[in-house]
Amino acid sequence: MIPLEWYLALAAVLFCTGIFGVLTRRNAIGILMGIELMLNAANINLVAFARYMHPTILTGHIFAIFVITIAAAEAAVGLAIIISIYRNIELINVDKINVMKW
Amino acid sequence: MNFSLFYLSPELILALGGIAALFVGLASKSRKGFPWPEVFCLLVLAAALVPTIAMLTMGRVTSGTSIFGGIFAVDGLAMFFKIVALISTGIVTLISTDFFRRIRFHRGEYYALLIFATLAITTLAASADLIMIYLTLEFLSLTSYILAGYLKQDTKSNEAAVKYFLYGSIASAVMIYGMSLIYGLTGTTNIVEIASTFKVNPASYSLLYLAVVMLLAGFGYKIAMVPFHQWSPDVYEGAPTPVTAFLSVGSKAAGFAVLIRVFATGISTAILDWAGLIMVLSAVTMTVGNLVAIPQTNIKRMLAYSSIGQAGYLLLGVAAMAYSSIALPSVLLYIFAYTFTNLGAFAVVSMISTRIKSDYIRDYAGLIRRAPAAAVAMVFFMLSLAGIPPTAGFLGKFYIFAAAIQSGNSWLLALTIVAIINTIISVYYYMNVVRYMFFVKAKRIEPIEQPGIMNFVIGMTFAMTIIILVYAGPFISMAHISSGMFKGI
Amino acid sequence: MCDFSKNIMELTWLIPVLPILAFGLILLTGRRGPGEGAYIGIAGIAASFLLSLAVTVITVASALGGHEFHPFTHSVVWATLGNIDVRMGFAVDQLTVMMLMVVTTVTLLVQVYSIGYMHGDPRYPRYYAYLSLFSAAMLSLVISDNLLLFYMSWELVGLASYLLIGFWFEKPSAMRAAKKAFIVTRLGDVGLFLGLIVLFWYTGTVNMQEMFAAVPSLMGTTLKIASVALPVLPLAGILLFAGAVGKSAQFPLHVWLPDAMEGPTPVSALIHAATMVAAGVYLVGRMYPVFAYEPHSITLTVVTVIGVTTAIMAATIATVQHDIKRVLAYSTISQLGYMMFGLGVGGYTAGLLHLMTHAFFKANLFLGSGSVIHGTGTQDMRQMGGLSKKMPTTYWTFLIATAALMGLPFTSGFFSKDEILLEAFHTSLPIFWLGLGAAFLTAFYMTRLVALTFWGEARDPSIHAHESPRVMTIPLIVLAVLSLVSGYIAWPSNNIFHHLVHFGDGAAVPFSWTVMLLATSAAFLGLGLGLALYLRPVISPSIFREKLPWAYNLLQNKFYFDEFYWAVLVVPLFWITKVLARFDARIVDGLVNGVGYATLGLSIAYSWFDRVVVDGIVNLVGGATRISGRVLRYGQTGVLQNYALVAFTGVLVLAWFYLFR
Repeated sequence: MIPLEWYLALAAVLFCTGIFGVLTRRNAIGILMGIELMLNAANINLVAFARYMHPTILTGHIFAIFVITIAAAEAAVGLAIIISIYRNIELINVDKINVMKW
Repeated sequence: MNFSLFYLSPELILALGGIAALFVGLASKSRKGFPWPEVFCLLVLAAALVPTIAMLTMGRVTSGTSIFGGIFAVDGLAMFFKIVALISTGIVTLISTDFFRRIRFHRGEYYALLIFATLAITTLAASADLIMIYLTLEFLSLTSYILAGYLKQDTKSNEAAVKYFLYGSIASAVMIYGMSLIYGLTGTTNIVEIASTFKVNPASYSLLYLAVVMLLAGFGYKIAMVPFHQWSPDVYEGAPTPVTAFLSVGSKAAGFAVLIRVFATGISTAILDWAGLIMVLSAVTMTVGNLVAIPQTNIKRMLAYSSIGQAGYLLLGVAAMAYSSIALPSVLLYIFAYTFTNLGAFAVVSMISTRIKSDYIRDYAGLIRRAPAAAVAMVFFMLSLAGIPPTAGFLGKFYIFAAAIQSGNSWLLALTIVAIINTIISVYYYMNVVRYMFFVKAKRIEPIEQPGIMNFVIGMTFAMTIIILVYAGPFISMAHISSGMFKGI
Repeated sequence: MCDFSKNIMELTWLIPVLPILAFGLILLTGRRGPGEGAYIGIAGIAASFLLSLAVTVITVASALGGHEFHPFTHSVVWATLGNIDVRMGFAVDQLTVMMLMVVTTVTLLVQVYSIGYMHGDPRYPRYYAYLSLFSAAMLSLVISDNLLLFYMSWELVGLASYLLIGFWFEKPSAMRAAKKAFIVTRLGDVGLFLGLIVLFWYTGTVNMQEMFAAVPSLMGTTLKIASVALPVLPLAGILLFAGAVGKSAQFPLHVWLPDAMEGPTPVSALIHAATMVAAGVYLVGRMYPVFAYEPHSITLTVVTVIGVTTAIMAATIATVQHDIKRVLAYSTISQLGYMMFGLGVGGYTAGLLHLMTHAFFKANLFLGSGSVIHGTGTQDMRQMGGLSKKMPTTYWTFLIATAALMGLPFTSGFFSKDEILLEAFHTSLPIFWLGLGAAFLTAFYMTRLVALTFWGEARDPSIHAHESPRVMTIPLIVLAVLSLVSGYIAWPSNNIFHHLVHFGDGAAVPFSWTVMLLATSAAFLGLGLGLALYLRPVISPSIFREKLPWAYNLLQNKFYFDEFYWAVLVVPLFWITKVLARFDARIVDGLVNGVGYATLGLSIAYSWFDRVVVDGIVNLVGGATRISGRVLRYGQTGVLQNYALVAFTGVLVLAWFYLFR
């Protein structure tokens, strides 16, 4: 059986990848994808903990399902917001969206 | 009598009312007729306020109990934040009626979203389970993102929504990772059980610490705590002013509700000494907020940095919770005073800026001639934010500093001195607004129209700003009653 | 005390309430109010004056009545902190009534005077509104029975002062002065606030009488901050005194008062000479048990040293100023220093007596200078001269007040100044000699002022001076009479004032002919030197400037205090805020670049990694270069990812902060 640590390491790597995407993608949708990676890292953690440490209680699984649901809602709202700014300035590069500063 | 339904009644009223508000909006398309959506929104909020206040006075509730197997706390703390949320949304509704008068927008949806955001805060204030906390925090965030971008034609509003959305999602992703670690360490998501598990079986200190820091990223972004504050000036500036008012009061109070509950019941100082961490964050937050507020020229941006500074003072009170029994009441009292003061300030800003079409402080020049009542009220709001008597803000600061000194902890004393130095710095930029309003000659002198509804809002918040100080007794006892917390069966 | 008197005393709370009602009424009526608001303000303060008079008569009668006297107090519960009730209320004792009489009298006269002085001002109603607000705050400060209400009124007084200094905001200098006054005094206020919290914490009450009762039990108690143990009583006393230093313009926070002369002259007379600046002295007098917990305590030594330093320093600066109001401002600072060191050397009665006499003659001097400014249209004494014939009433009243300030025999200042010097003589000879020096300088610069303003020939032919209207001269005459006679209640052989206002059971210090003769001769010496230089120039006045140019410059520039504060405090603060505001622009983008290059290195090793990363790096490096270019050109920011980077760095730093501490 694959030890728990492997899953945790995978989640950590995925989380860092997500952070990297968030910091480097200029496209707002790219950043959103990075965020999804971070959420999925947390999901892997939750499910792995649930499976290895408390196999009889389903809390971890349920938590993960909620996270997935919220992620979907977040994507819906996020895409709507991104579309509304695209309509006005025809741009979704976050480094260009910087009228307000200092 | 089945109490659980009664305990849930504010949330039920808000949920049903929010859905109904959509239909009320559909039914009243005309902008000329009776303002049904606004009135309906106020009615829903008032209806939810009644059982909340009733519960605050019930002994069984204030000492703390819970429903749904411990995930939904019914206690003084929750009721307090529900009241703050309902009152502040009510005031925001009144400000909105004036602000959106000349703008074509979807009224029904707007007020429905406001009600749903309030629902999110009331539920968040009662959440005693990591899953519930995550869900309600996200609920609040999602509604707030839409509200921040509600002026769809305005690129600043768009920009505010995009930045708020991306920043919020990132912060909550970090937070959920921290939550997954805490779940892994304890095997439960209920914060009371988390506390008892840690008591029996102390966890790996360093991993728990990392998890707590990650949780703080999620909570800290809600309360605009340095270093998770940078979204707030941009969003405050770009969002419609009533929404900014909502974010700076309701949303921030929600952040403090969850922060207080998780730290006071979930993670005791015996397991992890979080007080030191909060103290460092408090010092940094108030210093950065107050210093960067000085060079600001946009009043909404200035108020954003000011509210970062205010979060710093509140964090001082949160840190003192580890050592002093009057720290929690002092924090609650401060939040109550801050609610009225800050909403009053935003009411003035909203009324003035929609009429002079500018958010720049320099355009407030000569306001004493153009809108004398609003200018005088604004002086007291600024004094209150700076903590200068005779205003509610002074009482709040006095109480928090007294709590910090009562603790006798020397680091807290040092932090209090930092806080007091900060209040001196803050005088500079708060009085700058007063200076422009009173002492700078206006380019135009025609009076600014002050509609009755705004006079009411400004007058009411102004009166509360004074009354909380002058007639402090009831408010202080309310803060004491509200510090009762559900800590397990 | 009979029932009727009791009923009157119960009404003491009305004294500050009447002016605040006037304030509200003036705001509501504006120009439509009677006398454009002036009569409302005057009516409010006149009612307060009458009530204060009644309260004073009752208090003095019962204090002299022979029975044991208890302060009359009344309070209600205001808030509950933990299990401590905080009560708010008023207390009336002899010190209170003295202050009440001073404040209401001067305020009333100043308000009447202002009818003439402010005539035709575009913001006339607002002026009276501010004045009423000020008197309300000042009076509630005076009657407060607890330190908390005292502190609140103290801040409100500061606000009113701020509004009034900046009243003529068309002048940029007035706005600067208002801001400076508010912020500099605020520095001291923080001390007062901390002192209040320390005392509250250790005595468990904010009520002054209860605090005093607890003082003996606090002897030897210490407050530990880290490993430093601070004795509580001196700590609290010095913190309270910091508040007094700010409000009473003592060294080193005196810099705001001369600039505050930008306000209308009646305001200078009321706030910046007679009442508000004396509130600091009143604070020390009120809280004297905390200061004098033992004779010659550390706290009193601090008070003495600061007081005497201020007295000498300000008097020397006053000798070279050309602006008539600035001379008077430095004179006020110097006299406040006099009161402070009077209190410091144990002269409780003497210091407070000087507070009262000074209030009358200094208000008189300021109003007189206001009359001169009104008549000539200038504040520069070099353009005046020969006004004694054109403005006789102003001249004679001014002369009387000047004599009182110099302490010439049989004026009020003679009694109070002598008492202070007498106390100093018995306590510390060096302080006595310094005080004598200040008295000499005072006589000198006042002679110079009178000579330049009223004597000789008119120096500027373009100025056609005229006497001020009756509404302005009558207050001058009243004040001149008070400046003459108010000292007699402290006649050495039958000292009623000492009988009323004294600390503990301390008997009056024995009268000394030596001190009186020395003090009087110091005053006459100063007068003589002034006459020699300015009336019939035996010696040229410019000799000082020619022989000692460096000293002259030092004085002319007021010992360079402003420049020092600017360079040491203000400039660095602005620098820090600028740096922080540009934080994103410089440091964050620097971090972005750093991260960019670091990840570039990583990407070579892991180049098989998926396209997301590779693209990211390419974009990042390109973006980073563009960003840094933009930084160099505009200092650009507002980019979301910078914020995210700060947040992630924050998490890492916080984690690191603990894990490797």
